[in-house]
Amino acid sequence: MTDEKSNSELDALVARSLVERGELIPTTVEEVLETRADYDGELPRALERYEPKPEPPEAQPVKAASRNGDALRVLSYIGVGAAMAAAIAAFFVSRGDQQIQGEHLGTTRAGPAGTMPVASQSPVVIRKGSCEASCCGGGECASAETAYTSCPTERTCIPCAGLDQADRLYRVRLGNVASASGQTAAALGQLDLCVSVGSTPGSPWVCEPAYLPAATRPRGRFLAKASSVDELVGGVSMELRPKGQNKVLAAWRSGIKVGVGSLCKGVSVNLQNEQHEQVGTLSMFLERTYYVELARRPDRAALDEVATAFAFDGRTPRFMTVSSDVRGGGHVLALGPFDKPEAEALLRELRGEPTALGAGFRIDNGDDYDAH
Amino acid sequence: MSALESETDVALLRRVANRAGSAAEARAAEGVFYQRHVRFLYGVLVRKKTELLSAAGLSAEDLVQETFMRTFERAHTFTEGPADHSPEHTTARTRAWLGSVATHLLADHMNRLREVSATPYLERLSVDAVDEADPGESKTIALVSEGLDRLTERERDILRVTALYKRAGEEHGRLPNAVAQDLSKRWGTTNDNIRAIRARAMKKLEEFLSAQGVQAKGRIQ
Repeated sequence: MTDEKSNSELDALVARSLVERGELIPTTVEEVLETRADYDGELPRALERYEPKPEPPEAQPVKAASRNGDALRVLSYIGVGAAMAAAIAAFFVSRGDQQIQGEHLGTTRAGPAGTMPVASQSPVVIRKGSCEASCCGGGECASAETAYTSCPTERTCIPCAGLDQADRLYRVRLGNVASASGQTAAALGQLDLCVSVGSTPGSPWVCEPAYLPAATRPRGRFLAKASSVDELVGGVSMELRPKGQNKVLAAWRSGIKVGVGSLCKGVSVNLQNEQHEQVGTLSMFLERTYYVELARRPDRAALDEVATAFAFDGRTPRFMTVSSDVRGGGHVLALGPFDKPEAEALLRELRGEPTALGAGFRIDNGDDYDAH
Repeated sequence: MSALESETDVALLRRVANRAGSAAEARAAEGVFYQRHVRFLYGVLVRKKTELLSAAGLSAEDLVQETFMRTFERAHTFTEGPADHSPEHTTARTRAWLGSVATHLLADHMNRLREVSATPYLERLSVDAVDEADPGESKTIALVSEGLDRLTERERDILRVTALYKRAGEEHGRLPNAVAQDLSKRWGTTNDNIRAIRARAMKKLEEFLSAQGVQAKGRIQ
């Protein structure tokens, strides 16, 4: 941090004055009372009206069920935080696949195929549950230690156990590299940050610009291939290189222990040169990567039709494209990401539902999704 | 007019917070709350906020949307103010809270080099700050504004960004490294010089105020 000495009284007067000039946002009652800023022009289209969610309205399924005398089927599962960018897009306007943000590296995996027609029965209601009592971290976890009540990862509920089994998968997310010597973003953009996960000799390196503006990579950089606990414990290596070259300017390597600390707070990476001088820093996070896939279809319109078979209560469904057209299409309707136990629990409940869509329900690690 | 439209902001936010009890009511309450305040927030953000929004890589629309989204997420943290206040005061309290959410989000977005999706400033948000009293009389504030007009655009920009971070919880006026770097790049100087420019600007302001008979307490370093 840059240390700034301050005179609190004059600072407060400057801030107050900047609010009055319109250059800062009013944040106190007195400031608001003097602002009187209600916009009287035409609002931008995106702000004209509040649209809660793109999924089918809850009222319609309730009426249909009532007419038929059917009780709605309600599923609940452990609540875990939805991806912010997708959620924001979903809250206001349905903006299509391109608004699901985040980036991939490297190659993709593909799984088995399978799709089913849309159900004509009463919709399946999928409700977000509460954080279970045996949790250890996250904003929704009542028993979290103070240090883990707020997580920079996208988690709001971290279970205390069962997350460090060797085959459990996580998706590594990396922040931008911050230069220790004050290099500009443009200079950092000329460097690659290359990453290799696992202790196996010859583990592939995947490279991307060390810095990209938030407009391009708003949620950071997600590795395309999910990493197992085994691979993470084996070690994560990072190298800072000139763009497109193999020369190593700085490096870092460490085995990653998967626990509430790393899952909540992430890992701080210090890139050092051969003289052990710090060259740059970045944050690394282990994000959830299990999705409960509800359907795949060749086009978005078909997927939208499938979505009408569900009522998502407190949970934002994700419409994503996939980089291959396996299992019947390049568009996916999914819930997640979750940790594996939560994904499995939800899948079990979904498969207990008498719906024609059941054959399409599956867990996917998201490796072939174009966004996370 | 629906029944919800006659409810207070606090009541609406209680419904939003009680999503588990009734998701439909929560969504309806969000809609009413949004319509009640969106013109205020958008109006505030399109007025002279270009530099801050640009530095954060956001449009006013983006920030309006994210602010409401985050506000609804934190609906349970919004507490009722004193009961004897006028409806106008009550509305202003809600809007001050929306302004606080937007300010903290701006601070998080401007600090993008640190970690793009972390929101450490938003986590510091407290509803208590909306009830703080003005730091001086309107005459003094007007004089400070006059003093600001005498500064260069570079000095004002640095004071503006520093003030934003103070409001977002950096009580000692510290700027995150990434933000200081952005400022130094914007003005073609070094991080150290940013600190020096800020100190000089504050000194100029103090001298101007002193000449006008206003004495700000404490030392400026």
